[in-house]
Amino acid sequence: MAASAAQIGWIDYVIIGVYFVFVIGIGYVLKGKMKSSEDFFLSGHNIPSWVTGLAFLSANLGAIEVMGMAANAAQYGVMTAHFYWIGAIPAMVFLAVFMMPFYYGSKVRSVPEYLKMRFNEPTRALNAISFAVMTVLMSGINLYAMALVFKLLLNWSIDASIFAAAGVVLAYTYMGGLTSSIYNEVMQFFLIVFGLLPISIIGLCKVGGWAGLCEKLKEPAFAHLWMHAGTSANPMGVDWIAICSGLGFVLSFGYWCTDFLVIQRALAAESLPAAQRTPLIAAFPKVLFPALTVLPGLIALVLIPGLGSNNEGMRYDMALPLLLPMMYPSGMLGVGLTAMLASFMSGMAGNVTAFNTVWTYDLYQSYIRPNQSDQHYLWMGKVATAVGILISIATAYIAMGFPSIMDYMQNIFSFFNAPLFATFLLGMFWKRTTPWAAFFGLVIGTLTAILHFYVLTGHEPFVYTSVMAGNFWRSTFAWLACFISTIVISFFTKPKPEEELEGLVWGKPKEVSTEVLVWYKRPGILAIIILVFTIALNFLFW
Amino acid sequence: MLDIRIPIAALFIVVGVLLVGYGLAVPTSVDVPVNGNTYTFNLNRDWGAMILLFGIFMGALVKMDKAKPSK
Repeated sequence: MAASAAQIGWIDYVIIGVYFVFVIGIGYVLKGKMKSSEDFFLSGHNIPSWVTGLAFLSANLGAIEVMGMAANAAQYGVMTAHFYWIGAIPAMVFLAVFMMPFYYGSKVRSVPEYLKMRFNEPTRALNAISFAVMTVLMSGINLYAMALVFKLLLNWSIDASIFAAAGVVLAYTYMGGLTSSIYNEVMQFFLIVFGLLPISIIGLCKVGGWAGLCEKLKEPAFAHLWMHAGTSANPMGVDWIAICSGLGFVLSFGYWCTDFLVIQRALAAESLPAAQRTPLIAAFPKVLFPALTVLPGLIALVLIPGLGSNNEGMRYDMALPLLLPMMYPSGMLGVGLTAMLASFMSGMAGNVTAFNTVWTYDLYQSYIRPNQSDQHYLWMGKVATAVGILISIATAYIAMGFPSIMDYMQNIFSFFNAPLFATFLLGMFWKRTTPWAAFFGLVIGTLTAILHFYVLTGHEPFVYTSVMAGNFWRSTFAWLACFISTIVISFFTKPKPEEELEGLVWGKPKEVSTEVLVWYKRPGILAIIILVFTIALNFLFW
Repeated sequence: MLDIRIPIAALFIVVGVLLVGYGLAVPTSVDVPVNGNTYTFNLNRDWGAMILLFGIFMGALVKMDKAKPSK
């Protein structure tokens, strides 16, 4: 079976058009509120936690999340849910309970700025540059993935899709900054849920419910989360040690606890408890998201013969997009397509707003033009937004040249995010960690990942049964290299004076919140509820 | 600052009305097998109604908050 262009009617175009009007309209309404750089980059610290929480989740709901997880489910089965239940929720809880007090309490404007306050300028510069490059690359990949889907599904022009989506994202992020991005992410979250949920419901009925789906899967291991993880002889090719260490610890904590893209949403919250609740509020829908991504991937595997073949339109990446015209008539197809567009655009806008903040505060203000007026930095933030989108368009075209850009980007993540988490862990919880130890630890961790990928992989004992297994183990090695080298170098270099570490290190609090909260607003209680629920799901799908 | 629930309510009401209207004007049935029986739905009309209800719910939340006496 080859994928053919779906029939799209006028009603579908009207629904997509209405969506575009609303996202641009939100930017337009917020335009007049952007009076200072803090308004533009940090939303003036006055957004309620349910809004920042859903934005925290949606900023991560880009192409790789929605399409990629469905594709992984079609390729690896239910084990893909590990990316949520061990690869996200524990890290989100850790960020909320233990790390957010340092981020929010220290009043930093970005993650690299925390590294400057806790360590030194070189550590900040290293992180700011690597993050800026990563974010625009990721943003471009969202654009390219979107354009490819619409080309294969609807025969739309790749150029037109890229420029139209980039133009809309530019319009609302340029006018309304982070607030506009956050508000649109919340709207996009609900669109994604309402646009994709019927696929799971109808699809599950068509395959005979969960029991029918499990029977129809090509291997029994496709229906289990942990049962076949004792060894690497399972669809994912990864054993439980690699899952727990590589994904459950290093990769997930490295992403959720240090990536400014998501943390920026929490920093926009109105208070410290609200900032702490942000990842926890995001965790509640996140724990259920496999129903919108993993489940359709499994359904596609059963309902679409030939999925995963070499034909470009039948790649695993197309699992979810191919289900849209199969399940939806014209009308709902417009809602489904809008959900996909919303996913791509929220992922792209998240990257662009994180990029403009890091560029303006951590690179431009710090090294290029310090001591300028606030209005100058507000102007630079808008310029950075436009330039970031232009670079994203360029990287979208560069991405077309790579045969497997998703795998390539996961490698890049394991190079930079995995060692960064070791730096943060030591920096926040061990006051003896020295500035130069952090810098060289980061460099050594990144070099270890590069060495592992380009030199060692493929040679005994670094032979892996899947690309993902290689990613998990590389992350573990990079983290260990950074962790150990940072500790060793710390003993030979000078630590920061203790008085400079107030509010930045565990045991040196700057201010303690004395606010008494009702039980459902307390981060600790929310954390316990979400962890218990996650553990229960792990047993349910064992 | 803009209350985000207002544009969400407006968007979902507009999309809901469009879908329900289109579903009634151009009925398209979707067959869903459940436990050996096949149920037929007008997906545009039915899911459009859900979307419309969600939009109304969001709008009602804004109304209720505005009706509350300010602290």
